[in-house]
Amino acid sequence: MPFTVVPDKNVGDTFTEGMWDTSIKDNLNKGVMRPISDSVLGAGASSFTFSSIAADWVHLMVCIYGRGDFATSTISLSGRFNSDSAANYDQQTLHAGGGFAVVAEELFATTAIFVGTMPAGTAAANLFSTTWVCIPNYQSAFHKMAMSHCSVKWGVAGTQTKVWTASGSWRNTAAITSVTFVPGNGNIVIGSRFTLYGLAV
Amino acid sequence: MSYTFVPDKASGDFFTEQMWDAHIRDNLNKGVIRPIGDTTVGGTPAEITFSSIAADWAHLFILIYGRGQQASLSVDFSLRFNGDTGTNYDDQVLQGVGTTVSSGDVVTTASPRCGLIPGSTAVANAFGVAFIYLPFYTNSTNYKTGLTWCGAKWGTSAGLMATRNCAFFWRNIAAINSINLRVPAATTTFATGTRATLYGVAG
Repeated sequence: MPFTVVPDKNVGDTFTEGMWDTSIKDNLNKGVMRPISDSVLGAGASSFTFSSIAADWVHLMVCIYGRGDFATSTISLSGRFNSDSAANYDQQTLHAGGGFAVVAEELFATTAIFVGTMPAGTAAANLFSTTWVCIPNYQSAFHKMAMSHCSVKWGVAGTQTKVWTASGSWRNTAAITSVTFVPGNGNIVIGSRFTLYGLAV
Repeated sequence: MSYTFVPDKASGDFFTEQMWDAHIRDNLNKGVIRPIGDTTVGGTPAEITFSSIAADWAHLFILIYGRGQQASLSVDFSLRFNGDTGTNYDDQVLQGVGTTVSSGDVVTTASPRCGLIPGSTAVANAFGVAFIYLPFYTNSTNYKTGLTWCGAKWGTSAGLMATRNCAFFWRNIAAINSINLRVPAATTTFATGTRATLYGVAG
């Protein structure tokens, strides 16, 4: 739903239902950038899903603060749409850190879109990663595309941080109604947070 | 305009004009992140221009879902401000295409790169996406700069996807009041289904 510019009011104007519905209710619910859902994990989980995403917005953003429990220093985090776990995704990454030069990688026909990595079971205590995911035009009648940025640290040595830029496509023309995040192995730990934002026009 | 913190009210208080203007009208119009403009390219391929951008916000960002009309697998797109078609822009790109990392700048250009999208010969239904961030666009003392994160796919075999970070610079101290998104080649444009949305971010 589009944003409606809020009009000026004068002394003596009556506060009407129309003023409430158009200027306040609809603008706040569906006219500005607002949180749709926010969860802090209270228990480890093998995945996290935003479900029943309404068609009320044009673009989506997700902010993730996450960590995994698999017995490695880091673990990947990937996204799926509408519970599609078939090989219908493609992805391109660009990353630097961890003692390596800048690296580019691509994968076709994967079962999810890579969005970043998280510290995992053998990482230093209290470390979590930061990931930002953007899904423009999530109701498009064409194939969908997502992009992400991620920073991760798994220790205190000089080569134990990394930054990622990634993008990926979903070979499907259906409107997105759910987004699921899955770690490469193991669970997402307690204290991880997932927030979904809707952006109107 | 900045956000005005909404105060508590007590039972029996009157709802006043000042309450409406300061806390509802001004906060919603100019105090939060809200859409300013939105364009979807319909039946006729076209450039996209956001004009008459008010000085009401601190920063701007644009979300793009796009495809080019140019007869190539992929195509750069660029932006211009305030109708300035001169060579007053510079850019810097860092990208990964397949397994190849590359970077490079272009200075004194009229078409600074701010993203990459599939062209008309790309695989069907493929679109690219971009997030363009433009801080302090009303600054009338210094040059403007912005950055883009974007991704595009134009095929399903090796080397046909990209993720790209761009920085762009405009050698002008004027406040930005219009943004033109375009595919640089004069005869090409954005394809049908391309969508761009401009947001204002309050300070």
